Amino acid sequence: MNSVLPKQHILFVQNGIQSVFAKSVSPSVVIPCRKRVYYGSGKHKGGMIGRYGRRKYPPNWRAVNFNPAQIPKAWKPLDWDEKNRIDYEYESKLAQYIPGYKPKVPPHRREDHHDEPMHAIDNETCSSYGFPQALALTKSVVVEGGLPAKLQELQKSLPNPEDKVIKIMQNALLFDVDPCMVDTKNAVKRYKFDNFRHPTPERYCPRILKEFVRLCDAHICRVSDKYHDRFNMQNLPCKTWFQRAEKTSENVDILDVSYDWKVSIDVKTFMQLLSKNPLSLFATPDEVEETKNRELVSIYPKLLIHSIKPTHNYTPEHTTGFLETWHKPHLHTMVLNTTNDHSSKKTMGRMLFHLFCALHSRAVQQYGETPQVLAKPLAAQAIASDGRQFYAMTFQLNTTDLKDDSGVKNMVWTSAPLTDDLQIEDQYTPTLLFDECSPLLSYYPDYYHGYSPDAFATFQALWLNDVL
Amino acid sequence: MAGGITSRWLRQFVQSSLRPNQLCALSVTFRAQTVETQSLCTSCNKHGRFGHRLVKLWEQPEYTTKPLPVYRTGGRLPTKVQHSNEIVPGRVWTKKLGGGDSREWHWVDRSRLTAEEVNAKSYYQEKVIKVQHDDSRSGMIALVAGPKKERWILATETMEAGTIITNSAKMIPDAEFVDGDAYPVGMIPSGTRICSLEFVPGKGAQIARSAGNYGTILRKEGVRVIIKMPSSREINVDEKCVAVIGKVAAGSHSTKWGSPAQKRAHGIRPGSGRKKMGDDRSTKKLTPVAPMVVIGDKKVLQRSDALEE
Repeated sequence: MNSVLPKQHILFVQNGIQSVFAKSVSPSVVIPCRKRVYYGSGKHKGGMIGRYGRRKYPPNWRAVNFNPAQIPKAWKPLDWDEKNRIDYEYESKLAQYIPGYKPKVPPHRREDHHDEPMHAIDNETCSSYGFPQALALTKSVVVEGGLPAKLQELQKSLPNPEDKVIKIMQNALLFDVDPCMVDTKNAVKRYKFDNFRHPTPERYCPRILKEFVRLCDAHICRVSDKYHDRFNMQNLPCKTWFQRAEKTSENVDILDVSYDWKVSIDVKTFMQLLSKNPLSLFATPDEVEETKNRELVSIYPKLLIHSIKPTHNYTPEHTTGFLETWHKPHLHTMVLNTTNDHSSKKTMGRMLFHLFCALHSRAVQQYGETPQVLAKPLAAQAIASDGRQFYAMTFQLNTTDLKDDSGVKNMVWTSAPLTDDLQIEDQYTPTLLFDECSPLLSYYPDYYHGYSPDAFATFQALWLNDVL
Repeated sequence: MAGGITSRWLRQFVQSSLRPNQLCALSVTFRAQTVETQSLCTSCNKHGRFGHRLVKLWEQPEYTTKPLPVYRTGGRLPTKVQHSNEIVPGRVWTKKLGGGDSREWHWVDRSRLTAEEVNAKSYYQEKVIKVQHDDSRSGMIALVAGPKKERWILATETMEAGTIITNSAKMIPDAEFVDGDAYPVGMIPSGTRICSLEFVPGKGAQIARSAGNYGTILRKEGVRVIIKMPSSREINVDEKCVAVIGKVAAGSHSTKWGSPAQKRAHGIRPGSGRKKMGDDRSTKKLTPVAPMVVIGDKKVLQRSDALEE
């Protein structure tokens, strides 16, 4: 249409777009506007159809699939498969020309590939299996009556500095300022009630736990000389693997299942207290012998490896996190930060897996890899907390022979009471440090409510066990 | 005029491209689009407003029990952006959709026993962890823990947390066919109520899956079993097709709109609200008021008799 126009009017045209100025000067003249596409074929070709002068459907409507059953596939991005595909040939070429480049290798060609699968328990997944499954998998039995008698005495006898504990709690929850959140340039406009930001559990939980440790260590320094026999370590990795077998009833026929498994545990604990001397045992040899008569908790119809993922790529090894020549090798207490576990069943399962992993790797260092009933059992303690709820657990490793359900079993003591139906209900009651603590509690003069001294008493009893 | 012709043509095109095995889902509103769903809903509202919600199942590498996010498409077809691989909502396919509350989608396992398990005559039990409502279906669903893994299944009426259900392709003497158990149809005695039935062995349940639905096993003829479907129509299937004993647990089968806001929360856009009475196509129909019933007066009740006289 450009060629039809007289030359004098081309001045008013700007890059083929219709301008307002051109319209006002000469409205009668047709000015080339943005090119309009008229879809159509046959007799409708090039013509104006419909109210708005253009066709509703594009010319490629035969190619478009209007079948609603296949719509979801059509929503999938076209390059999805291409982006998520790993080109192993290209990776090998990259490794040729880039020094230090680690190419991605298909899993069956890696060095750590094994034919027999290993069921791997990870630091993230170890809380998802729950306490009953952890008990059955580690072949351990719960001793009724709460924590051991020695620890219960310590809870009552040790002095409980309530003022200091309340100050720690208030510092973490009321007066703490996260440096990441500080607005130094005053860029963000704050409203009247928006001035205070509640500290998150990720912030206040480790703060409270570290302060509790400091308070207990100060007590040790005052009372005895054993402070230097101990060593506190954060984020210590730990790894073991073991073999476990299960007998099932005659009726159960499941496809592709063997009843003899390899299980590995690979965890990293928040805090581990190590000592020169081993922790004193919680059960006498006679009590250990009595566990032969007890039965493991049944998790029927689940198998022991229920929802634990098998992998063919693994390196079977036992590590405590230190060399064997390390002069403080014995585990005393471990502290777990369980802000991400949303139920007590998960927290207890995590505690048991962490304790078992640390002690089993030590037992293998001492007695070798052959599974056996230990001549000298190993014991350790664990405290788990999300800043408000506190759990305590003690564990005694009596045997590393987990192939059979009969025989000597490992023993567990917990602070929380147990119910009959372990699988469904979450009825392990933790001890609460406080019911509520927030600057919004203006009704209470100290801005907290429902403080209980039992939480720090149990923490202190475990931490100062075998010292005084 | 031209638009009318093309849309009719398109409708024919859509109907011709469907498979003969697919069935209509009756009175289901807002089913989520997934790769696994196969339904015959077209642009009309008769079979439910298809195409409003989308679940991105291709992002999941394997089966999960976690509830997955549901995205709204506004009833629009996917189109490709020019010079890129991005896909965006295009032209409207289903009208009068938009907004609504956010929802979650649970990956419900439709095959209680797979074809391989049926052929191997396997037997195992599962424990119900919880029974709950699902956003994208009328019936209830149950989370069960089996020997290997957890999964979502369709809940039957008597399922509660803690009950143990059986999946068996092996004939066991003195077997009790309890509500919630899954067997191949050939093993189930005739006359029992069943739900979530397969048409083809190993394909997954296709019928009697919505709230309160059930079929009955009528008789067996050799390898084939004849079953009465919820629509009271009979069907002849292979004996290896798996079915669940009992009736699907009833949630809210049909939604009755309490208010316009409630309808909007469900994802239906507000209409004009203007409906007059009249004889026109677009208006509410004028219907004559039913004649008064006089109790005790036989002449009115026995009208036909009176006419004969």
